[in-house]
Amino acid sequence: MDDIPLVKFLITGRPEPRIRSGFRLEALRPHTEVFKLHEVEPTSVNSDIKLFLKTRFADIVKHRSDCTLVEDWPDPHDIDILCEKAAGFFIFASTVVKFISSRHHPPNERLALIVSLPLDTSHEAKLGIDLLYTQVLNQAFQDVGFHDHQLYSHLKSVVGAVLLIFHPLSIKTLSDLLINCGTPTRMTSSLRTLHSLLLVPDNIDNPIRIFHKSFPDFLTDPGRCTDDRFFIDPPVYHNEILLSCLNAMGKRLKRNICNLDDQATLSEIKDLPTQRATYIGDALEYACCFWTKHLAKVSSSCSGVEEVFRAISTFFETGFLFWIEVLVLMGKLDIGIYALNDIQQWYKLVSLYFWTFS
Amino acid sequence: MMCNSPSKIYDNALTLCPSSSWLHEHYATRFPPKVKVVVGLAEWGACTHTVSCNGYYTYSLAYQNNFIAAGLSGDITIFDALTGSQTAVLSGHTEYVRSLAFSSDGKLLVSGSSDQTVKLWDVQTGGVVKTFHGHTERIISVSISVGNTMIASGSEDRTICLWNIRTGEYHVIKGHNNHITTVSFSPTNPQLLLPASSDGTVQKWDTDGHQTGPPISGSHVAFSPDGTQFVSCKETTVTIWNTDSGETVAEFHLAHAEFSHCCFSPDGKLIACASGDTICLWDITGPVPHLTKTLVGHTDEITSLIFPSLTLISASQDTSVKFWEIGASSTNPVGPHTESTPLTSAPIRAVSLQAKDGLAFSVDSAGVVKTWSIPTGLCKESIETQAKDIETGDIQLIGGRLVIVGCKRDPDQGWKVHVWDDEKGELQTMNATNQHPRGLRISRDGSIVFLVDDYDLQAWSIQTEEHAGRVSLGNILYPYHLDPLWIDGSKVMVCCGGSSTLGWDFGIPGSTPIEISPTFSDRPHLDFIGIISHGTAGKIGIEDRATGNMAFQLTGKTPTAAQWDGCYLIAGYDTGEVLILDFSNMLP
Repeated sequence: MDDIPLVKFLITGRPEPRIRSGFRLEALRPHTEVFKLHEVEPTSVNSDIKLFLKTRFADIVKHRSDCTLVEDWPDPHDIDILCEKAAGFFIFASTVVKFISSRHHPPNERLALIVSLPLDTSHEAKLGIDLLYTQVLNQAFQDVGFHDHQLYSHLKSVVGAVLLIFHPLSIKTLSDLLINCGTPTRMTSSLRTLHSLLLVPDNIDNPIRIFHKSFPDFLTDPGRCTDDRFFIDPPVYHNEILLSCLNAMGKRLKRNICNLDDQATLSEIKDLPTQRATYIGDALEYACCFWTKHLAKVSSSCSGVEEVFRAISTFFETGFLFWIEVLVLMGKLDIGIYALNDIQQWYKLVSLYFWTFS
Repeated sequence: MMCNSPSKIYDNALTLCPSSSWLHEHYATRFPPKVKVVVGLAEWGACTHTVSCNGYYTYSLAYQNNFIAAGLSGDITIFDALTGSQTAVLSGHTEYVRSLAFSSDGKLLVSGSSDQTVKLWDVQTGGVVKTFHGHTERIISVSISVGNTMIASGSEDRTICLWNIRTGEYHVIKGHNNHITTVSFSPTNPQLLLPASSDGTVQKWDTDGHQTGPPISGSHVAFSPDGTQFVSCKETTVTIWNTDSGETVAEFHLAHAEFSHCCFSPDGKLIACASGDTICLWDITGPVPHLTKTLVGHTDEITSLIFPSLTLISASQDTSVKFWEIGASSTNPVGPHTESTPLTSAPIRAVSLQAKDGLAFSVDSAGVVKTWSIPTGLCKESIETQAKDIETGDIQLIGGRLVIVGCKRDPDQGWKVHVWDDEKGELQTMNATNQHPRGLRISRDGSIVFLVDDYDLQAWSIQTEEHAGRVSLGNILYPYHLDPLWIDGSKVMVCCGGSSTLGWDFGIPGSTPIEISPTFSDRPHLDFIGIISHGTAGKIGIEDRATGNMAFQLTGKTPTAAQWDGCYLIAGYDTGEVLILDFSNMLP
């Protein structure tokens, strides 16, 4: 490292234990400097956020000729309120801007909604965002009846999948993989109102992403997301994804899935990525890599556990070797070893549960 | 191999799945294998996986939460115990790391090194918490007390140092007359310490440096999980002691063993001992301890043995670490060494093929010779013979007579070649060699027997017992080949462990064998490669001579004997299993 004096790497991440401990290694210490964003001087963060808000609102004034916005909109006082509510969380500011700049609503009305939210002093930041998310979700579905179970159940399946998958997938792939999500068109229409919360690309081939971890944290915490229309209970939706994965693997896996010559070795195959894309596809590859990760999150006391049990038994009796084949083609056979371990751990928990309670 | 060629999942891996496995049950009929299984394996081996240690071997193994720490030269390498991939390297010692121990909470790791220091590591960050200086010679063993307050270290300076982890203060226990080879704290009593010394004595100490009993005999010691007992081993003897009274609880022996390591299973029901490259497991729950299993697979001296869960982990000078699953089934007595042993499960010592007559043979260490029918895959006959405890051998049916040749170790006179037949019993005995025999074959007419050891290839006439020639090979047979000899009339080909093959003609009686260029007129397409080498599986399988690619690989269990005739492969295993494969579909 001493030999490359002029290069600096900027590495950002949430303060997870592994990252923190990684940078505590003795060899790294003299060469690294840690900036904890939540410890950076609040005034400098606030002035950054203020600058960001002012710039974005000026853009809105420029582009929204449909509404009559005054030159110095919004009121500096409103910007101060927004900064205070952001409490140093940049994501709050950007979520607010996305909410306010919605093309379907007058920006001044939207701003008023946010600014009029009651201040809470105990958990300023967390509740600020929670209230914001609640507000955004309520707004998004204000014209839908509370009892339209079909709509909310589809919405939760789609959002649950987007939040709980272990690797970002496109609308097309999600629709291909998941039984309960319907066609890409149906998914796009369900997600239409959630663009300030999820990064939904125009092209259905590009992956959907979340803007900030606080959104899944919020939606999956029954203490924070108290509205049953939106609350996502992770074990339930992991179970849903798991069954979709097992279903896809059961239906599509077969011997010599890529139609290769007998005895072909991977190094001899021309254009393996294209072959994989043609014959396996992203949805099936995702299912093969991550199904046991979803299994590990399915509660062993869950009501659908017998169904999972049966699906896994069928998989082992019919598709197991084909699964290994796909992992080999992906060059990820090691995933199989971890996966078998995941399954073993889950079986232990389940049998313990049944032994104890039945 | 499967990692590189998806079709091998069906054509190779599935073929080798034991007939009792669910994989065989659900897939074998759906995907009939190219290589026809005449006789299949009955069960999976106990060894679940092998981790290769980059050419180093380790004396120090420690296990915690699916991670193994191993001292490889001066570094401590952390492996993922599931996949065997290396996850971290802790550097700091300047010489060989000889011993490692995790604290009971798994947060700290203690290491003792030949650089005369003990280091304490923070497992999460990988940083050194403290270095302890005080020994004046290499450190061989370290242990950490329950409660994680003290570290004990044993050194070649004949002392034990007791270190206070918090303050770094230490005091020295003297009184041993030789190197300290093992030091262990009691798992329950932080005051009690059990060191073994290279003079073969074990002495109990308390942490104030008082001897708490007379010295006992043992070169390696380990506490039981509850601390009430400990086990010691030395040469052929394993002894279980009561910790408090110092009385012997049980003692058992195994002929010819050289026990170097011993430990209790975590449930206290089994004792594992290493002798050379073999691990023996005793069940100690009954009134008399009995040998339940021998674990074979390492190819060199075992250097470390730990038993953290239902998995036993061993390291060896073959530079590998092996994981053995010790299931509940281990409580049935099997193996060759107890009188109640069912004869069928003794390790196979020699196998042979006589395909033109549709026959194959196996002989196990108890002298049981089985005749297998190749067309049906059934065992036609099983007879007891005197060919017991042979190291390697050959069997042929010659003129209706079953002739068996085998190498046996004579305690005083090296190795002898014995010839038996099923009618008259032992026919001849010939003094053969002082070296380890690697292959023994009878010529097809039954007139000459050929023997290859680490240095020489020799031949004898069976009729006259006369020596028929000797060729010096000069130790080229390492790594060893499972089936090194190929007989073609009076010509003998020797497959060396490397890629080379040498040939001699022993055709002219009384004269020196003539070196010839090796020819395999009867196996032109496929070769058997049976290299038993360092650690991981070696390379055992069938090679396509034209492409040089392995067409079929024997993975998993390592055979103890094998023979190849150009079309059929027979392999025998330490579990008594025999595998016969038919490669005729792969021949042009």
